[in-house]
Amino acid sequence: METNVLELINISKSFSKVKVLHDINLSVKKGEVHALVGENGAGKSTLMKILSGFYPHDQFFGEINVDGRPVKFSTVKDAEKAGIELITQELELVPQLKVYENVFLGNEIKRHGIINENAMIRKTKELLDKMGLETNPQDVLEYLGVGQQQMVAIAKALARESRILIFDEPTAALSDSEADKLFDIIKELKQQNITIIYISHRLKEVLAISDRITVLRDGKVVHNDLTSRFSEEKIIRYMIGRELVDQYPERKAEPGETVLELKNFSAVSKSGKPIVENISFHVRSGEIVGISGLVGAGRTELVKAVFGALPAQKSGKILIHGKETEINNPMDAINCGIGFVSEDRKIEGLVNGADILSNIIMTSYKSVSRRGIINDSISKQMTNRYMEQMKVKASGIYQIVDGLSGGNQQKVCIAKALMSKPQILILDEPTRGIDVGAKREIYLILNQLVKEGVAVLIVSSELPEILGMSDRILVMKDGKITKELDRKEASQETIMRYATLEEKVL
Amino acid sequence: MKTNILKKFCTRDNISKYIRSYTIILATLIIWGVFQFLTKGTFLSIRNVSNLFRQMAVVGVLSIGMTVCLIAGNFDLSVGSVTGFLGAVSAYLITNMGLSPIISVIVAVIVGMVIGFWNGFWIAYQKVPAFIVTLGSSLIFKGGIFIITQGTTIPVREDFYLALGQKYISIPFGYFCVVAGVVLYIIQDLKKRKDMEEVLGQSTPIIHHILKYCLVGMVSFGFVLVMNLYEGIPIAVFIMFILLIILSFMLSKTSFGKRVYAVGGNSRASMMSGINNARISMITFVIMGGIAGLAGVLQTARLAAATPGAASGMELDAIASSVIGGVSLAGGSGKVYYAIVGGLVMASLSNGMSLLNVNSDVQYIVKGLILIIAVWFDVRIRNYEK
Repeated sequence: METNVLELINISKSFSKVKVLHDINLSVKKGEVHALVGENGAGKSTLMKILSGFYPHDQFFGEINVDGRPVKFSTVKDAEKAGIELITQELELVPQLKVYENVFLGNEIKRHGIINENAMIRKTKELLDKMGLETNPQDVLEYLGVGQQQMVAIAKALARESRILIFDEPTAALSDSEADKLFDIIKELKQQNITIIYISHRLKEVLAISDRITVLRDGKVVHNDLTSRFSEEKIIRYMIGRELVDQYPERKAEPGETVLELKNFSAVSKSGKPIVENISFHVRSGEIVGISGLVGAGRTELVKAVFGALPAQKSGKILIHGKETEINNPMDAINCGIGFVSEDRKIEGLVNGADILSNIIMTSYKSVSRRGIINDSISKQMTNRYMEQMKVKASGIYQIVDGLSGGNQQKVCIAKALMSKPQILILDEPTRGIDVGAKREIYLILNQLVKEGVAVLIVSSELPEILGMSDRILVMKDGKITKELDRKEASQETIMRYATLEEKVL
Repeated sequence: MKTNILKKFCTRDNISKYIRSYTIILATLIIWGVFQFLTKGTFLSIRNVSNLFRQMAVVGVLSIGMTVCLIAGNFDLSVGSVTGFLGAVSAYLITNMGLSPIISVIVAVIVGMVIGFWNGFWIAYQKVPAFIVTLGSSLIFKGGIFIITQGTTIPVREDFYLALGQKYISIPFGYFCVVAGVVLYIIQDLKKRKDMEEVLGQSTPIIHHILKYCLVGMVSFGFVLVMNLYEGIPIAVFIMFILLIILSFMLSKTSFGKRVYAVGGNSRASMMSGINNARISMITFVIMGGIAGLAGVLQTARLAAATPGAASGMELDAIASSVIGGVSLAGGSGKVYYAIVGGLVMASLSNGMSLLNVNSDVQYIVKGLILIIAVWFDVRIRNYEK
């Protein structure tokens, strides 16, 4: 009987009032590769942040045992002392520092208070050699590729002689050969009896590398078994497993003419990294097109690029009503009749300290102004009309948006986008963090808009939402559209399959 | 093989680094050339060069501390007032209380550190923005100056104290320091090269190093020679260089230094690496405060008196020096000696324009424009890097 190096007992965690983890129990054996899978928002990252001391012990319920002894982490440093190291998706490295400085950050080798650079460089070199990397320890981190930076993050964890390594989506930014290298490293670590918790969306990877798999769904452990007893289909089934509730109001699609069309559209970041590649699709008036895919598939980037809000080099064509259009910034997009509701209300959607009226008229000062001066009565009238149409629950048009609930904030965001009378409405995660009732109201609003002939494009991580709302579904992976599905042929399984599709299979 | 070296050398990283570090030196040389021409040789006369360095010493000292704050992603707008306040405190201790000059200097530095602690407490632990806290402190200690000086001038007539701002170190000692400094520099650089060869199995060609030593040697000997041809290295300038060496060492060779860069570069990453961000920020403000105490003493000694307006506006000169030298306001990068080069540019402009009898109003305008252009240039290069 192998010993459990790590035990999580009845872990629960809430953010404000939303419970994101429900009584999680998880045991990890010494020296095993334990994979954690689940849909976006299933609670994997939150759980790992608890384990790595990012959330201190008084911010969640439950117990953590390391080597059979209960531990309480107040800071990241405490977890490090216990030998637990998290390597996250957003690399926790300092771009301006050199490779070896990053590897030993917070853990410098010192003699009489003076750091021993030679020893740090030598040790870094050894670690990188062991990982089969030729990176110079003295290179400045920000000039390395993302893949190499990922390797540096691993070297950093190894330099601390951690006993439990948590990888959160380690291969998301890696090329195939780099990923293969990482798998070799993981096998090597296993040999050294280091325990690994491996979080990934790439199911083939998980099946190939792990010893045991735990599936999370909606903040609960739904299944836990040896990897040999899993197949890809089985994992997907456990991941989605929930019933499609009748939450999505009926609507008959009556698509009209094509309003928005992309032809071979690509965007490349300023450093030359492709963001989205060779995208072609169209949206007709009176229909809803959904874009699905996993986090990092390039969905948000694609719609932001269409809206002119992505700093990147773009190529290919955007046609609006069949006419080729150049969109360089959001102002161009709004003038072309595109409305946009962004993924993050707090950062990109609302001016938090301002009232509802000021937020709603933000996209269209012209329409509420007379001779260049904002007309109070027109803006009040318009705001009132939209508040009624959207059923915004607030004390009035002068309520500060900060105090509204998430659902009402989202309605204000949609109203703001509608003020400019768009023919195309793009919504990125339209119902994120909103309760069920408000969700349904937003769906009704969208249906009403579609009926009036607006073309709607939705990006969503929630598969039921995509399936329930869209007439057609585009599935993205790695910046490309891997499949266009019709409403009838789409199911959670087919979407997941195309969203996790490996290159080679294509 | 050769093309490989060339490729390595010509990475974007290197090119932009060289552009950045050489333009400032090139700009300094051009400014000197123009003034030399316009003043018909007065600007680069031995007497004026000595003057120039003495003039820059106080702001130079402050800009060293400011650079540490900037690297950590903060800044300190209170240093002008604090410097004036501490200069007045030290003058008061000597003239009105009859304390020894050494005690007065120590008190000024310690009170400075306490003020830094006060700023750091509000900024790092209470999360009040640095802009507000240091602006508030600036007003507080402006008031403090008037309390100490009663709105008048406190003269100081203590020889040892005045020497700090007005005297020179002896000529042989100056030569000794420069020889020792250059030799130590070469030894440590050669050792580092050898270590690198051992550790990485590769090293830069020795000729690079020899050229570097020639350059460093020529500049330092030239500097000391010019100073000694006048009366020697001014003590204030000497103190500035000592401080420069100490803080460069702290930033590059201690874990505290590395953590300052980490906190300014990516505070999340440093937190996740188990670094106590608040404590690091706090220490940078304490250092800044102590340095302001020293600067206050130098300023008072230079003028032989503490006046209510002695150091007003110096915080902006210190920030401008650092920024012109290439320290980023965004934090995470920069070196202390950049600030000294930037300070030299600022001092050269003031000195040269004064020699030409340019009105101080025009001087302000020129310096303001130079500041904007320098940062614009920096932003351009950074964009190019991305």
